[in-house]
Amino acid sequence: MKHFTLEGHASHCVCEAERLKGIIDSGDYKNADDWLKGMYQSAYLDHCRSTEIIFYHDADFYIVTYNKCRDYLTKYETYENWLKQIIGSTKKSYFSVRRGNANNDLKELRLSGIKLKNTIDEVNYTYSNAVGKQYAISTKVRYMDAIVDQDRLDDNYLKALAYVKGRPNEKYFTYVINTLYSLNSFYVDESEIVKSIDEITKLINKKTRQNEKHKTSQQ
Amino acid sequence: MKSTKQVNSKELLRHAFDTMMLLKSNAINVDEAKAQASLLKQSNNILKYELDRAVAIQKYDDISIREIED
Repeated sequence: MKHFTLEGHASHCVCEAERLKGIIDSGDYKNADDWLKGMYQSAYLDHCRSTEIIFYHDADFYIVTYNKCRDYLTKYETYENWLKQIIGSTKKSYFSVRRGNANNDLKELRLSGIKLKNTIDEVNYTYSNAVGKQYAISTKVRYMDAIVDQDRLDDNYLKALAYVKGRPNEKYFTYVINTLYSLNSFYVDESEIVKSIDEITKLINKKTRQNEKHKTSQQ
Repeated sequence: MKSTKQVNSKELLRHAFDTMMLLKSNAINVDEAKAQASLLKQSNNILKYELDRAVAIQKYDDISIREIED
């Protein structure tokens, strides 16, 4: 669990307007009061209070504390931009992110030779609109990396739950952490892993024999 | 050389996949792939032993298995 705090306010914020008023009062601007009135109106609904959200990335949970005025009108775009800055690339989509069953995928690979997916969606943040339609901000990660990260995710999930315990928004945070955990975790059986490694070793040996055969036939 | 990378069954699976991908894209030669496959097979045998051991302990109450790590 990592906790970041973003300092500062948005340009339309009441705090910022008051700071600007001080600057303008000292300068020689005309009609500064009218201009500031507009600023106050735009910031009227904004309470300029500190708030917190939780993101998920790379098998870890991140709490970001920021001033509410920063996401004024463009809440989810702001979140997406922050995630883009941290991760690199994200995509915002209607909630169609579904976890594959890794056990079945490995079994299909082993028994039927069906190729594994290269990438899988890592759900970084979920939200719903006014009518309850769910959306997610997600990132593409390698399927194998997602499988390997499961143990780390389990550890970090428990740490995150312990971290939010006793905080003002404990219930909401617990709900968000549980949601993100359930969307990003899947179980893989140890025996299936062992069988898959066995199968891949055989495939590697088969491929090397083919390559050698091809090489000798060319000579 | 000391490695800090954790080795478990999932890491081994990823390594197996990466080796397969590298071989398919001709990024490693046949000899290297053979050596990697051999190492993977040996490591996997240890995992298999661990699993069989766990199954045997679960199945039989009075079984005495030699502790190879002692």
